[in-house]
Amino acid sequence: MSTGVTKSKKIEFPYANAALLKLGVTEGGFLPSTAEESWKYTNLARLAKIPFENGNTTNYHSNLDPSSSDKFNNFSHQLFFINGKFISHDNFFPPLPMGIKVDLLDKKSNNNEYKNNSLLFMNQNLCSDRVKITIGAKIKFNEPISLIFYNYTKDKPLAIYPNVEIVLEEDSNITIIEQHLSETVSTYWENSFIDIDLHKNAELKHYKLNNGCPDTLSTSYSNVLQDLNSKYLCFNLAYGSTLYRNETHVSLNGENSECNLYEAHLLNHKQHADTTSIISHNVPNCISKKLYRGVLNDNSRAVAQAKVKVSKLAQLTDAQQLFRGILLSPNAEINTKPELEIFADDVKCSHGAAVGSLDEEQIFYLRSRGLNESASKILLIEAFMNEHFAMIENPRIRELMLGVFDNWITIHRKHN
Amino acid sequence: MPLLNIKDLSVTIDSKPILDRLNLSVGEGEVHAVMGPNGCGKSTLSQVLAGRDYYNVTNGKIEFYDKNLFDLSPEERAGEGIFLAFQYPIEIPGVPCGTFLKESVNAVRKYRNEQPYDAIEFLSLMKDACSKVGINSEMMKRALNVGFSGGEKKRNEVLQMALLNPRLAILDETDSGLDVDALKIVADGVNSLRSPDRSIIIITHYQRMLEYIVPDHVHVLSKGKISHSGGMELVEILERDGYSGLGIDTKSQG
Repeated sequence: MSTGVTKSKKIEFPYANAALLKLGVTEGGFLPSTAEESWKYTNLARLAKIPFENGNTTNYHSNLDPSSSDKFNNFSHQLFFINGKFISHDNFFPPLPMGIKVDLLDKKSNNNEYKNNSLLFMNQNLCSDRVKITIGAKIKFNEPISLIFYNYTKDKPLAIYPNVEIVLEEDSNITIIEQHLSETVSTYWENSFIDIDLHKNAELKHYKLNNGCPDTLSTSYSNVLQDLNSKYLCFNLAYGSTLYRNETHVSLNGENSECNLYEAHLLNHKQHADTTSIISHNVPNCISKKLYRGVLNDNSRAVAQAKVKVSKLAQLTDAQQLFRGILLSPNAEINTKPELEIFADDVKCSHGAAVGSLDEEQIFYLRSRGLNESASKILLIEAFMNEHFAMIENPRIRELMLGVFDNWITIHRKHN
Repeated sequence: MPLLNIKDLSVTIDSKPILDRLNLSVGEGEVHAVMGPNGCGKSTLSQVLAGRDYYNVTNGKIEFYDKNLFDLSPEERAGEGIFLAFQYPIEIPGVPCGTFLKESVNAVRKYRNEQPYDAIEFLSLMKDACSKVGINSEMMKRALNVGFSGGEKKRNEVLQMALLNPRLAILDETDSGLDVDALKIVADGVNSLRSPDRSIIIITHYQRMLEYIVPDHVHVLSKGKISHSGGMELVEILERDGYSGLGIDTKSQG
């Protein structure tokens, strides 16, 4: 990468350049490079070499049945996207409950708002659909609403741009499970944008599962705005794709709002996963947490970085960041970067990071009780991650996530 | 044939000698006490018997029945019936005690070609064992040894011993860190597991444990080898005169 001269902050991205030019947009067709501080550990250069086509031009979904439950882990309320395109759910699913509204929005072409973020800029300009989900005031559901982003490729590598806006009006309370699944011949790059707006007293539990096929690439960006007394909980499990970056920006704009970000990485082979977040405490009396756990095998790499910004106004902020990782192989690597930027003087902010291999004494203790080495290690890995998974309140979602964890364990057991 | 036969065992850590041509043999159903000053190699002996690979065995052999112990992994030793009650039981967050015990007991049963217990069978077995060693079975829901008091940890070791049904139990300083009441509970638990087909090695610095669990044989370990062997009369000398009563220099150990 290094050439001895100052590295450019941009990587030329011929596919995007051409795709944007077709729309008459003459700039924005580039990727961030590792010269940008927040991209230091995640290199997108490999994307630039792939001759993508825009996924919205394909029509691969005609013979797919989104209600097929084996494939899509169906929940009773479901919204379905194929290659970023929203599939009107009326044909497949029972109508959504009262108080939940789904609208298709106009595209924001050449929107200046995102000029300084090339990935978002591409998403805004090149997405197939912009979908807005509105949860009406006082609407409360225990049953999760499932968003399935199903990516399907044949002979051509595709670029796919899911774009969803979720608004929770005052006093509403729902759970969303967002699953990214795929069936591929060629690779794809999914570059998604989820915009979340929580009004007064709204509460959203947002579960995310990246279970894309191997050799697929994914960058995901969420922007979360929180008003007075709102609560946002996000649990994200990165499992499938070969390159994955999940970036979350939270603005705590209303007092007594609370945000909890849980992130889990289960990685093998040469997978690379990155969780990056910026939580901005803009008003007093808010609570935020970012808790990361990762287990990495083989040559996999993880990045866990988070910045908490506490503005001058935001007294009595309570912010916590804790990153913990287990490396199962000498070639695995985790880069952690917790950051605090504090301008208020009466706050409680903590951060910590601990990365290491499994504890030899614990392994010996278990082996001395009859468990073999592999079973001992697996028990310790399960214990480490289960503490994290215990955060998932909804039993069906927990079961779904634990199922993915079991798969990972099975793969791990086979090749060790 | 003795159950355990240690011949000329030498062990080093980072090329520093810890055990030096140690000999010890333990017959079936016998209870042996191994005493010694700090740093004499008592805990090393127990860890080597259980199969910790941190130590370097430079000489000798250990026979367990007809098996060469050095051919067996720690888990195989557990399967063959060796049990070490740890001086410092390891805390394992996230693993409930009960789950661990079931996995452990069933792993050992599998090794012994016995049917694994199902959840219900195991639960009733575990409850019986808990009441035997004075543990509230509610404790089995907690993470293994996490937040346990010193006494609870040691009782939990004895509970594991009861469930794993070993042929040779090694109690490594099981008395350390216990007050008199806790010591008595633990000792009662061990005594209830005394049987003609189970041998026990009690490793201890002090004599007080031996007032409750009376050994058949007493050995004193000094500078990496057994310096004295005998009966309770050795314990009496130690109680009266300390290790110097046996001519042992406590400062030059280790």
